[in-house]
Amino acid sequence: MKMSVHLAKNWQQNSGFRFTVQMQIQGFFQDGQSSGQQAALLTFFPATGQIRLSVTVEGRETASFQADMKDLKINSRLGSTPREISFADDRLFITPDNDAVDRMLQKTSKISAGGLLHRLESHLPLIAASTLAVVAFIWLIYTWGIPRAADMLVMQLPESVVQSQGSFAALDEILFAPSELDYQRQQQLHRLLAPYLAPYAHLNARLHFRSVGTPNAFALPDGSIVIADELVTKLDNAEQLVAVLHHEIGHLHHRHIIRNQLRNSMVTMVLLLISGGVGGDLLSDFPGIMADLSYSREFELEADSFALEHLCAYGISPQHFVDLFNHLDPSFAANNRNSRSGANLVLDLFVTHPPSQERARLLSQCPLDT
Amino acid sequence: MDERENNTRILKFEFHGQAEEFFRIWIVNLLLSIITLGIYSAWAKVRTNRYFYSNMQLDGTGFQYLANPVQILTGRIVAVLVFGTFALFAESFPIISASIISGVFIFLTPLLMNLARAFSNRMTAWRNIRFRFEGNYWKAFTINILNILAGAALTVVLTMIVLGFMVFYPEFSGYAGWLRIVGMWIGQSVLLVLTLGLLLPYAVMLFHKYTVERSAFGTQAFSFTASYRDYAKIFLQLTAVLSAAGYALATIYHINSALGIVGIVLVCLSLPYTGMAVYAELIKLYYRELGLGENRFESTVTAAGLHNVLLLNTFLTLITLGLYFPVLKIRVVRYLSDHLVMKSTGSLDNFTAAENENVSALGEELAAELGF
Repeated sequence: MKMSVHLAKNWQQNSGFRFTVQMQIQGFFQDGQSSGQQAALLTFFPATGQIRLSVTVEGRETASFQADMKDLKINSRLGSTPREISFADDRLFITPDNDAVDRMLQKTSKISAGGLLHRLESHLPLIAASTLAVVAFIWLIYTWGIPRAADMLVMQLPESVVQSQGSFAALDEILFAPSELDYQRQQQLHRLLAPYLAPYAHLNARLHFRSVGTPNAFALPDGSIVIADELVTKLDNAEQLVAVLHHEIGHLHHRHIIRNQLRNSMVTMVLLLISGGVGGDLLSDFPGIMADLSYSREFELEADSFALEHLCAYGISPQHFVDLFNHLDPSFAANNRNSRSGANLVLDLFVTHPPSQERARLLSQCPLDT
Repeated sequence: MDERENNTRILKFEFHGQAEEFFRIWIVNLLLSIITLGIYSAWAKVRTNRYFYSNMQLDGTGFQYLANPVQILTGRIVAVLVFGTFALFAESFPIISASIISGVFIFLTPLLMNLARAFSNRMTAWRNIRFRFEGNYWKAFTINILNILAGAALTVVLTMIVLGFMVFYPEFSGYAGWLRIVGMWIGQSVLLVLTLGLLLPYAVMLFHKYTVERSAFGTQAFSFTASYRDYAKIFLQLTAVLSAAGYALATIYHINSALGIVGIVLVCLSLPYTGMAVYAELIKLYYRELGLGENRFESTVTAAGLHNVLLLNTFLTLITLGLYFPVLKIRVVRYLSDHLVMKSTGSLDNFTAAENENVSALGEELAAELGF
């Protein structure tokens, strides 16, 4: 060891260029025993890899010690924060002179991952690219990764587990009032729809008429399908009611509520994992809401598609389906003529139900033409 | 105010973090966390905390964040496994697991609270002297139960009041009608005062007192001199403001519903401000009563200041899909530190270190999953 040091020094002296034999860094010393701090001078000898720390009070050296560079723990560079260099026994040297510490590190063979991080963080094109990459990635996770993963899981659940999620009885108490349709009318509708429900006994599909307040229909995971009085009275004919029923059966068949729940909890989970305390609540909640909306749109279209397919099989004209939406969405006819503007596209992101045009486009799937 | 004013040094907490610099650190953290499927997030957490701690200076010296990413990663993996198991279990046996899980959590939460606090204190240092926390399981248990009770009681009372307004509101007609209304108001006010005005501040005070008095800087314990009266005053004021607004609104609404809706919108818009007013009072009280040996603290945050810095920046974070988040974080920390000073009567050089003890990051990571 001594021999090699000697040779190195000789080589430096003999070679023509000037070479700093030692480097000095100004900073502060904290002994880890008490909260005092003293000015200190760190001297690094590149040839030997040794460090000498000299602690001074009012310009006079009061203590000094030596250490080997490789026994030190040097924090990675982080923005413009002071660098912490830890010695054994909790002794600490702190210096704002990050560049000097980096030059010292370059002289040793240590490859530092921390230095690489700082270079990444200082590289502006890379920052811009990262920003785009992060945005693109999050988009990909929402639109592709999570839906695939959640659907795969949900489709493997046994029917009994799906049906145990959320019960009609509890919601019925709070949200719905008994149907105001007269008893005979209800029985008539039940008889009319029973044959269409029969194939879905495995989904535990049951029909309920309730007064809800808005023309609407719901399907709950336990197989309950609720059709609002207000919707029934708006419809022109039985075919439209069959269309509504099949839309809701579509939700059950595709397990939409459970898939939606799982997707949303996965969004939160993934964001928590990747942001790991970096993101916080804001970052995980807001995209969760966004995702919720757009997933719902996808499910509505899936339910429409299911309904159309089955209506076609029963020989019911898809025109009834179109009429249904003309009823529920009077703006449909007007919108249909105009092409979609940019503003509409943005608004679409925030709307739960898909625009009627998208639904109408589904009609072309039906082989029965009107 | 202080008789020893001459000897008292006012030491500012100075925060030197820069929004632009932190954005770069944050986005690289995020990118690397994504690329490594979340594994890097432990390193990201350490880098973020180091940035904020180092840039927060007291008397010219920054704080230090000392946690080791590997510890945090281990804690995180265990936390995810534990919660994954619970979630799967809950999915398969919803009813049994609900009771088991709530039972387990009631007994587990105090432990996690203590471990989390101990870890974050141990990993914080100033002038190379670590902070500490010495938890007590049954004290934490009591505080947790009290918190749950206060929250539950408040929820029940608020539900009753909202239902009362919506469903059972008596007619504003005649002497009898007004008598019933005033009777109802008095009943509601009594319930609100008992829960929001008296029980909740007690729970909050016990929590603050517990966490402060069991924390120490090196061998010097923190002290907390706040009384229940101080806390109750803040929450009773809140109760009074909310009740008055509620009853005024109800009256206006029943006289003229259009005017009532305008009133409701105005009240809803001013709710964040009310929240910030309470928050500001609590922050000021906390620091006023906090002591470290002879050293005292003082915060001068205001409702308006907190409202501006939080509301505007949260709005900007929302419309930039979270990209503004690093700026929000820097601004909030800067606001809080700009309004905080330490009033020191002696030297800050004489605190001494305590014995080393090992605290794992598991508690903190589990507690983070629970949303502490």
